[in-house]
Amino acid sequence: MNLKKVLPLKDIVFSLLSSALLLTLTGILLQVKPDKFKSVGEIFLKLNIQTATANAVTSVVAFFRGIDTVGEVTVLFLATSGVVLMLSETQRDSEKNIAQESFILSIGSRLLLSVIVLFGVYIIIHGHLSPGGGFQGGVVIATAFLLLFLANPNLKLRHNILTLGESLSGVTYILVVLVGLFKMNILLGNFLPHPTNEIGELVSGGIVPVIYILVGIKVGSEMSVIVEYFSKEDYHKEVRDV
Amino acid sequence: MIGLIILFTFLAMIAVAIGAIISKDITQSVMLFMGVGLGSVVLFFLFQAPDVALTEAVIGTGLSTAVFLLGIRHTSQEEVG
Repeated sequence: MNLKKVLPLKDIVFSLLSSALLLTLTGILLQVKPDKFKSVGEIFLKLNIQTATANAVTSVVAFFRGIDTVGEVTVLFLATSGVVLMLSETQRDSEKNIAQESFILSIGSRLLLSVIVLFGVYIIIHGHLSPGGGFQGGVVIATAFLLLFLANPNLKLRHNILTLGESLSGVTYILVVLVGLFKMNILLGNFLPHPTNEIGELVSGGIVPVIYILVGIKVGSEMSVIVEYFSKEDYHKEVRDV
Repeated sequence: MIGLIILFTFLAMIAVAIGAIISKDITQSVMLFMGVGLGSVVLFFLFQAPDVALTEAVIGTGLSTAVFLLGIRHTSQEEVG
């Protein structure tokens, strides 16, 4: 068997180069002592009293590394735009195909929807107190809609409301970031009152819960739209093939 | 005790991952891949990272599996080649 025919020379060179890179990286990683990593977490735990949030992870995600969260929200927005742009073409000509929906499934999914959405809202609102936050809660809400779409194939979301909520929350998030810049001279300055003796209460932590609620609305609406397009596109293709 | 649970979870994750690779049925593969995510949820929780555990449970185990299954629904069930 000729190896050159099976694997072109370019692939062999690339695989050799990447294995050399892997070996170098492993060598670098092996020389780092684990004591060096301790300091970062301790510094953040000491600084956590500044934001007055009970959950230290949230204060890192939404405050100390808040710019990263802005970037993540932008990435998610671009991904949603891509999905809608690619899949919205196939949706138009399929209005007449009405699928049979099961009675038990549709009623059961509607009963479950309220519970799951409530759980998602709980995760979002308590993001600065307990594990979880905007991203997790938003995706929980989207999974509730996924259940609804699987049970009722003819369901359509009202895209106007979703788009309005998503863009308003995105704009407000950027505004919160900029108001912090103008009032405190740093991006994401915590301009709302956040007294330290109120740690652990629902209204505490200044802008951190506000940011997480905005991120939750944005992620929830975007993920719901993605889930709708994925389940719908699939269904219509099936009908057309038959 | 916790060490035993961690060891068992690691072994189960490795077994499930190998199963996901060698399985010929794609749906079965996706479900086994969800098992890897489930194992990592347990590990994240035991290593005191409940935030990451929640994220992995919601996104890695819930939503990505659903999207994979929706994609499989209108492609072939059997692995080709």
